[in-house]
Amino acid sequence: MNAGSLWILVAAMGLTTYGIRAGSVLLADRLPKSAWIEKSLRFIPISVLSALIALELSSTNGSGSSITASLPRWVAAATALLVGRLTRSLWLTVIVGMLVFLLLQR
Amino acid sequence: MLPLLAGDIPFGLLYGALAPAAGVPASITMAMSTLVFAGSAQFIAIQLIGGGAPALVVFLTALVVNLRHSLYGISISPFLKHLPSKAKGFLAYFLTDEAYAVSIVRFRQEDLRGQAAGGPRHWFYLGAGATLWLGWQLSTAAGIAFGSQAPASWHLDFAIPLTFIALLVPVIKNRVEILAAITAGAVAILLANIPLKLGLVAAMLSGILVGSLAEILLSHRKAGPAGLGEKGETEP
Repeated sequence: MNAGSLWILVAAMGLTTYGIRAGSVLLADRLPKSAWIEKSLRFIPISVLSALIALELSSTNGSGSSITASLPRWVAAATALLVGRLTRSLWLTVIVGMLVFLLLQR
Repeated sequence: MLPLLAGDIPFGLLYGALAPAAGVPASITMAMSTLVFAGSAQFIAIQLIGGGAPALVVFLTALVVNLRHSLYGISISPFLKHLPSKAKGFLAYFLTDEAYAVSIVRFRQEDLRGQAAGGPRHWFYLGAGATLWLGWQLSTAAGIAFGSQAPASWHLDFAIPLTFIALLVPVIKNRVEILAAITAGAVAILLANIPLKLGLVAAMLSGILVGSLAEILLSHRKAGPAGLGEKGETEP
């Protein structure tokens, strides 16, 4: 994407994000309330993040056979998942995952 | 406020360092923190942009990811209803996950203790929101400065999916949520070669759909045929 498109994209993202925030605060009484909507919304970040993680891990950037090329990513991600579960620390999760990934790259 | 910033600042530093690595110029990286001011959506956007997704896919994904803010708005509005619309509109800009979480917990505790509603409550929310905002802007800027110094051999772009893992861990709490996550991940890999990142869109939708359906099936089984008298969602 060129800089012009990126600026338009960011402006549009800013407007809709603010629109969602302000709209829900100002119109709260008039919006439909449903336990099902609330539950479905909970699955959005889970699904989006999982899809992006899986796609990134399986991508090989066009080099070599897919499984051997993406193996370091999967191992690093599994380690990061474990560290995340145990420590709940953003820093430790990212740093340990990066170290495992960089070591396996060699 | 300090524990809040402890979560906010590392996240902002990473975002600032990684966005330029994904091909977003520094000025637009900074503008996104100011205009959008929504950490998860910003990370997701830079990952998609780096992967060559079309602008419309990035826009719609960010929109869907930010829909959850409407729940926060609805939930916090009774505590702000004494304010004029202009003030509410201003305060809404600061409605992030963290500002909402600390404010709603405090307001509910005050209610339980029988303290009066209204009054200066919105100042607490504004204080939390503005502190987070400042922390986010400064850490984005610091991250941009740091990221530009990092050598390419560090493969900083791989830190984005690792950040997603760190974000995902605390929101997955039960088996249905694990099912949604695995569905979305599997579909994303199976449909990885569909152009315009539409496979990714399909993956996100299947995760949401499978999760919601599983939730419905489970709650029916729990309630059972004779579960009419049980307390649950009472819809008008």
